[in-house]
Amino acid sequence: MRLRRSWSGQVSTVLVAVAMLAGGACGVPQRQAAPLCRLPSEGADTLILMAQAVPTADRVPCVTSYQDGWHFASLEVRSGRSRFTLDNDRAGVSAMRVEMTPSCDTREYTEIGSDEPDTLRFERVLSVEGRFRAMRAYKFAGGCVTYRFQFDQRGQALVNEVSAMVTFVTRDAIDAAVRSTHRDGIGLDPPPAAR
Amino acid sequence: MAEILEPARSANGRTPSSSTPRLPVASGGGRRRRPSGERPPLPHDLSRSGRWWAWAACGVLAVWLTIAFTGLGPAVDRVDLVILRWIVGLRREPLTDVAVALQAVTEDRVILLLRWAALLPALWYRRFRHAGVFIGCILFSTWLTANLSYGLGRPRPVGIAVLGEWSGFSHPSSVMVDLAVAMLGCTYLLTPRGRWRSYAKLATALALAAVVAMRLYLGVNHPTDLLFGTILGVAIPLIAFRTLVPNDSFPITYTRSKGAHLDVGGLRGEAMKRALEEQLGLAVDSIRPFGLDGSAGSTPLRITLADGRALFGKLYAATHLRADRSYKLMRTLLYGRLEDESTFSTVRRLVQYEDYLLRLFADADLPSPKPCGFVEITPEREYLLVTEFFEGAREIGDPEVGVDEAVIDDALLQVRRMWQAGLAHRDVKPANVLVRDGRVLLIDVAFSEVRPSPWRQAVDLANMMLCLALRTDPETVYQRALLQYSPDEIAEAFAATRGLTLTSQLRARIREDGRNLIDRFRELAPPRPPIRIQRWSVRRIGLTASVLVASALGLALTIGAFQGAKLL
Repeated sequence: MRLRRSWSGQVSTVLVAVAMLAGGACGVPQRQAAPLCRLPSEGADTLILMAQAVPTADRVPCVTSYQDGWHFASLEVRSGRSRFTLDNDRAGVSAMRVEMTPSCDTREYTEIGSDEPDTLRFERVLSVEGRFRAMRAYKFAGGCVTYRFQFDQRGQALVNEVSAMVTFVTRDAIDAAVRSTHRDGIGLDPPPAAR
Repeated sequence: MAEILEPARSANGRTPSSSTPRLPVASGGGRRRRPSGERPPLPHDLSRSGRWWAWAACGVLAVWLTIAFTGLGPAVDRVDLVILRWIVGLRREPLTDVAVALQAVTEDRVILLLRWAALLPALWYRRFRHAGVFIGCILFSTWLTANLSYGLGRPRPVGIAVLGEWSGFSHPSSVMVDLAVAMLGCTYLLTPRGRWRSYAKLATALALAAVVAMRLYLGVNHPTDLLFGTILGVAIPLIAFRTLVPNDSFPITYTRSKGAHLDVGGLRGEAMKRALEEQLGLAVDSIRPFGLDGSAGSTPLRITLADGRALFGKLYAATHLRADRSYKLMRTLLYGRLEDESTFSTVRRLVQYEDYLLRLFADADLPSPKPCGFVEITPEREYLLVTEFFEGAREIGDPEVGVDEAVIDDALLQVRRMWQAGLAHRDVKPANVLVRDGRVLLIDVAFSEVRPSPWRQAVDLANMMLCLALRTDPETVYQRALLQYSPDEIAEAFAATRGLTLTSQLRARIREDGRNLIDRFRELAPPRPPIRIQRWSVRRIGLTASVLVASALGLALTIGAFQGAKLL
């Protein structure tokens, strides 16, 4: 004879199990969402989402690999904007923020030679004494990516590390990754007639 | 020692306190043991719809696990996109404009408005438990959705023109979760059970369906994102509310009734009748609230039997258990461990103890209601204690009750008899001292104690003398007391009397009366130094510090919870 148990106990157990499965360690799921430049597998879903946020952008920022002391902190993607931050054990929390938007205002920036193909690069230093604060913008077809540097210490060396860490992946490469996953002709963006 | 008066005898030569009422038994009915596996009179469960949603939530979990371990994700994507592309193919200009405008109902500020619309009335009507459960649902669902969306990492629909606004990963739909939780919160915090709640549920269902249709049309989510988000958003608050604030124990009403008084109509009323018949063999005609004004620790009832006779019932539930624990904690914090402040671990033990005390009082031939036993309504949650009903008895505070010297003598005699029996009532107040045919009756022995401290015995005497003085005067009561008690005993009683030792009703009546009765009794009795009631101990200091720290943490957590739920 089965013993009848309290429904509330059973359901609570299930819900706790769901929470444990879904939650895991604090912050782990967010780190798994880091936009890594490793198509078509790791980080592809995040890159797809970022590309969907700015449908006009022909490329999306991504992280090639983490330099010593750097790690992914947060991701925020919404229609019209995508943003992620990186922490550094020397520079502090949210030392680096990368944001992509359809356009950006670079009137107070200085244009310098770009290290990324098919982009224009702009720089603006806000503060070097005490905390290092600076902005960098990359303009390209259909979009703009801004880097915000905010270091607890003078950070020229750290800026160089960022330059080595963050780059771009093209929209075409993301589209190819989507097509390889779906295999039925579905790409990242709708066909031109449907837009 | 003063002469101890013998109790007056009634016409048949028997003293009232020694007459035992015959327990009425249902004719043609009789008791019945509930077999294992059979549901109790008032089952505590989720009900059919709650179980359905709970199973649906389990189904969602099963699907996730299946996808995780079998790699069926792409197949699900294909099905989703086939459905979505068909819907998107139905796009027309006017419909698109409507759908884009409808997005406004899913904005963060609308969700915030719904949440506060549910919370503010709950806080105003002191439904703190409901409010806490609702905030918990918001926090849990927000945390779960955020972690799931990052963990599953599903992008928005590909190959489709997405026309709407969106935020974050697609699965599960956080908009559906937030909206469902907010709307169910409004339903369960604002609407009483019945017609209004049914309307609210229908409105919620229609609203959610409209939002699902809108988001599919705009291509913002996959069908499974919306389905799973809706299931989670409904299941979490539904299960939480039905489990933690079930309507039978925490009904939504718009009258300012005491939290201790439970609704005894509807399903609970029927369950009580059934329980009384099956467990005590009583055929019940009706059960009605009785004497609510004077009670705060239970729901007092008048049980009318089929043969017209009456019994008295006290319905106890988890709310009373919590109130008992809070009361004892406050007493310990304010005054130290004066006497037995141990809390009861379950409602059953609370009721068992009162039943036991009633039997002790009966065995000692004290004028208290004779116990008839208690019945189980919901296992470990609700019990109904049944006793004799003192028909025709009135509270000693009732102006129509005559309080003459015979009544004073009888009242004081009962305190002496409690002393002799090794019992203390501990809740002597006008509401618990009744008079019938010139005889004093004591009710509500729930707080009584066996083998009490001398201090507690003295307090019983003082409280009884104060009850009597409220209807007469201290001088008369003191003179009559000298016939049964020594001056030192009376002096001890009022040396032990402080604010804490008076029940709240007695304190209020003395204040209304205006005479300084306690000081007058102290003037009449021999002088005696006050008996210290503050008890300091390491335990009390530690407990006080713990409560302060816990309160500060609780406040910080509450503020954090409100911020986390985006309510601040």
